[in-house]
Amino acid sequence: MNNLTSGQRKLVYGLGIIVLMGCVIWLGQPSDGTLGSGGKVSDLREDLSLGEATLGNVDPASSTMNLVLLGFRGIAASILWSDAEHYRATKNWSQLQQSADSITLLQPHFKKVWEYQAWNLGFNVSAECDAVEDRYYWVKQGAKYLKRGTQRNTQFPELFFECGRFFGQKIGRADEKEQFRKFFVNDPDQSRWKGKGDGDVNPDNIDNYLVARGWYSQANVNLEKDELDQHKMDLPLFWAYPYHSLMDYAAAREDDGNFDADAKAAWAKAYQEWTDIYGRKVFAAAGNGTNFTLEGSVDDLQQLAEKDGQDLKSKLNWQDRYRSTINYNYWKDRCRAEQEQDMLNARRDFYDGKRAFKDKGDLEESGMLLERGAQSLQKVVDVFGRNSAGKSNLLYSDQELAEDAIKSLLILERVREGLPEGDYPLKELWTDPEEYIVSKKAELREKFNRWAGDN
Amino acid sequence: MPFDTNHPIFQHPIMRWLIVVCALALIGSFVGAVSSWLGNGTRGLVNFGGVVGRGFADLVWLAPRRVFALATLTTRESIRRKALWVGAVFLVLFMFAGWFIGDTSEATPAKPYISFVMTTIRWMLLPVAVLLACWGLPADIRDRSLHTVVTKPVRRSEVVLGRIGGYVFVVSILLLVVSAVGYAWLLRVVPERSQRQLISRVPVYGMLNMLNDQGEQFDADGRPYMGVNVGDVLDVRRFIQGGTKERAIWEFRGLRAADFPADQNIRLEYMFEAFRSYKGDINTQIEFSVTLLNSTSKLRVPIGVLPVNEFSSEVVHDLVDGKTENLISIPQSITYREGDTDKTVDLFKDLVDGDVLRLEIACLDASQYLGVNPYDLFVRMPDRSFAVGYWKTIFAIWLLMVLVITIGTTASCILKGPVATLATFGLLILGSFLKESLVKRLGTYFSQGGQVVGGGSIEAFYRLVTGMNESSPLDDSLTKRVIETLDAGVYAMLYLAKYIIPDVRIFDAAAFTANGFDVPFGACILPSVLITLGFFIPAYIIGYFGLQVRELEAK
Repeated sequence: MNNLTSGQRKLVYGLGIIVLMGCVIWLGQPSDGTLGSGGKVSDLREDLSLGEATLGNVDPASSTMNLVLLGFRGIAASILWSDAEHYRATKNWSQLQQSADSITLLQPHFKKVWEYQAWNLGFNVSAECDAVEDRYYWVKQGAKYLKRGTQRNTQFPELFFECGRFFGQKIGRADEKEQFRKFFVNDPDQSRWKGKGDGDVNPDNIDNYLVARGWYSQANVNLEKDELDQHKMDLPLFWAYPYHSLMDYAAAREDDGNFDADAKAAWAKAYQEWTDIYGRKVFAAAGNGTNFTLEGSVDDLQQLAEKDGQDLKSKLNWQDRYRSTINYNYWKDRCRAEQEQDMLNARRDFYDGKRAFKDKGDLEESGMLLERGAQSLQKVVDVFGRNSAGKSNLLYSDQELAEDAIKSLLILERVREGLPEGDYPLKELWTDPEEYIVSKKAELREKFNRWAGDN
Repeated sequence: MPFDTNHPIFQHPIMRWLIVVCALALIGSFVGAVSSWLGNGTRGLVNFGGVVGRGFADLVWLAPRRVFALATLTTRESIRRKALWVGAVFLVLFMFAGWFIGDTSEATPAKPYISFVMTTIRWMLLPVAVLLACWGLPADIRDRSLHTVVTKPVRRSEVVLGRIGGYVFVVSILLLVVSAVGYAWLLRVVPERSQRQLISRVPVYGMLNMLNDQGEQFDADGRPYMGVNVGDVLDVRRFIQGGTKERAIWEFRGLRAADFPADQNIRLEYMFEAFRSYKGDINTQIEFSVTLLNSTSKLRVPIGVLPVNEFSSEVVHDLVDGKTENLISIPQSITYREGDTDKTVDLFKDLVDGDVLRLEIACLDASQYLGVNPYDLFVRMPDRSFAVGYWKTIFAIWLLMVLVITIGTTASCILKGPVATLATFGLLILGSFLKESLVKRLGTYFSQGGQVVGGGSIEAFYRLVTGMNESSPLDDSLTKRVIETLDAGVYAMLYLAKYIIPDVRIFDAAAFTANGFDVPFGACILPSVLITLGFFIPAYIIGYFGLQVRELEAK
């Protein structure tokens, strides 16, 4: 026992309380919203962007759940994960969705939850349904889930990127892309959306690729803030997605049979952005951090080398490697070629020729259109020149274009009961003995026979 | 094997209940007699006999007026302790419920709203019931206010009943109020498009048989054909192949014309699954045909071809063909074409064979598959209103409250407040979450002749301390035999214990209501009533004797 009196002890306790309170206030005083107005912990939270509000929208339900569960959040989340897996195995989709929602209430800033469960709903559950409308419904559920993830985590570039992938690739490239793209601007839930797309995923009722472009662009904006990095792919590849989306949009419009000024303008804009914005962006090579631009000439890179003190040869080397990785020149040439009026005419004639053959059965009209299309394409091919081996720069770098050309020639061959002996447009492609072209022709011929209903 | 669990005497629930009650009575009597004898010798035994004899009289001869007075007293005391305040908490929860339901758009199905209301009612009121029941008597004993009761001409059995009655009354009032609020809330907040899901469907399920690709139900060894698994982890459904003789045939029994209005079609609801072995035409759904059969007259009447609409009923949006439900509609007078002639048959006279309606499902798309399970197709009797299912679910919750109050009050007659609370909560948790795994574990143990991976608790402990994994066999030694014998004893005790743990899941009818079904009497209401009664009777007796022998002077 000590020799302090009761009064002295109270005094000591009082002093201790005051000292401790001072520490607590210094450490934990809440901020009034302005920088530096809070305690040490508040400042650190602000500096490291760890506050709820700085991470994204504050969800009161999420905060309440975490508060009420005290330290049992991890256990509760594990049980919910287990429930979600059980519901998936038993094909109880609406309850799977609820479990996924509940998990994000408990783990709102766990990026993988959003990615994984959105994928679960948009890809796995969607694939389980037989009606295309139902598949689309679940794709939308996945997209909405991911969108909520971006609202709760405004700084993760990867979540925005994944949103772009949902709208771009899932809707634009799935087996059901034809229906999905239509549904995107004209939702099958007619009684709710009345001839427009689902306002929760497509508020402006625009093409899916344009929506995807917005999300990819936001991912890049987040990356530029330099707060959170992305771990999906090499930066120049990641950065290219908004520009690719514009190309996808233009190509998809043509696939849908829209050969209007919009498609041409989209290709022109894509070319301009690809070369002037994306091509001029300074990237650091993943190998050794050498700075370079994809579009930069030798002089441009020389200037850059003088500015950052790095070796020009290394810059040229990395530029070449990345151009190859990204297929930079191909996309550049494609954007340029697609803007040509002859190319637009060729695509329109190919499209109409196929329709005339398949839908109308008008062989004469089909033949005329396909021949005219081949002539237009030949003109563009000639404009883009040939390489040292005498092969077309355009046809042999653009596999998609070459396939379109072969498909059209296959129909033409059927319509005209064989192609002429003499010269005809795109003969260089049709008669090329190169193994790749021969095997591609055989593969496409088989598909064509099925498509034409031969077997 | 310690004893034969398959003996017929264990198979009948009422017999099982009697055995357990008698066993408990014997154990209680034995313990009471031995402790009395040890305490006071022969006089103790005489006293014990007196208590038991008086007990029988007290348990049977009750004065309803006194029980009512005690129940009123208990009610007043509960209200004084602010038990009704939980209603206010409930209202606050409802005000913010939208936060927790997530996507509150107009496309949200009714299911999460209904589940929310039921879960909230259940888990808000259960702790109230437990705390009221477990702390009332011990608090009265501590405050000595029970003296004013027991010194009056009142039997202890009346005290127990009065307590239970009072608490049940308080909780019933609470339950009634919050249920009414919950019901009104549901009608108001469930989106307009989902309001159609607020119904009580009355299903009649049938028995499912399958035919193989030879059109036969049994194989050469006499085993019934069960369809194929298309690679699912769980066999939720078995599949029949399209374009073959494989069929799924349902037999619905007990259907009578009188159960259906004469001018209305008979409706069957389905929820089949499709599996594509190749992509096919993605714009066209897998389809199936429906045929009615009469095995006696060999009459086959085609009803039509329908799309599978796989999982469409999970969501609120309209189905592909503009309908909102997967229904097979069968007129009572069916006209169909056979060859070049139209024929008309009466459903109940020509097709219902005795009281059995047979319906055959065939997948029409070659090499594609249709997944079915017995509950995927049911005759949908005329729907009842949502209120019917809702209030039945509330009734099941009320029965659960009665059960919990009964157990809690009984526990508080013997134990102190905190211990009684722990015991009651423990029983509740065991019954809610752990009984299923306990029953499964016991089933494995007894069906495999006492051999389970890792053994019982003693063997598990032995393996733990000796660092053995659970699959390595134990050496055939005396140690092994001792461990196995002890484990057999533990399992035997657990086997008996499982009958003392109430199966709380039976009382949970929320899944029926949330999925738009009426609450079945036979599968939910009746077992809930029986379980409540089954626990009430022994708990009342135990509570009485507990209070009788309890030293009320002890704080």
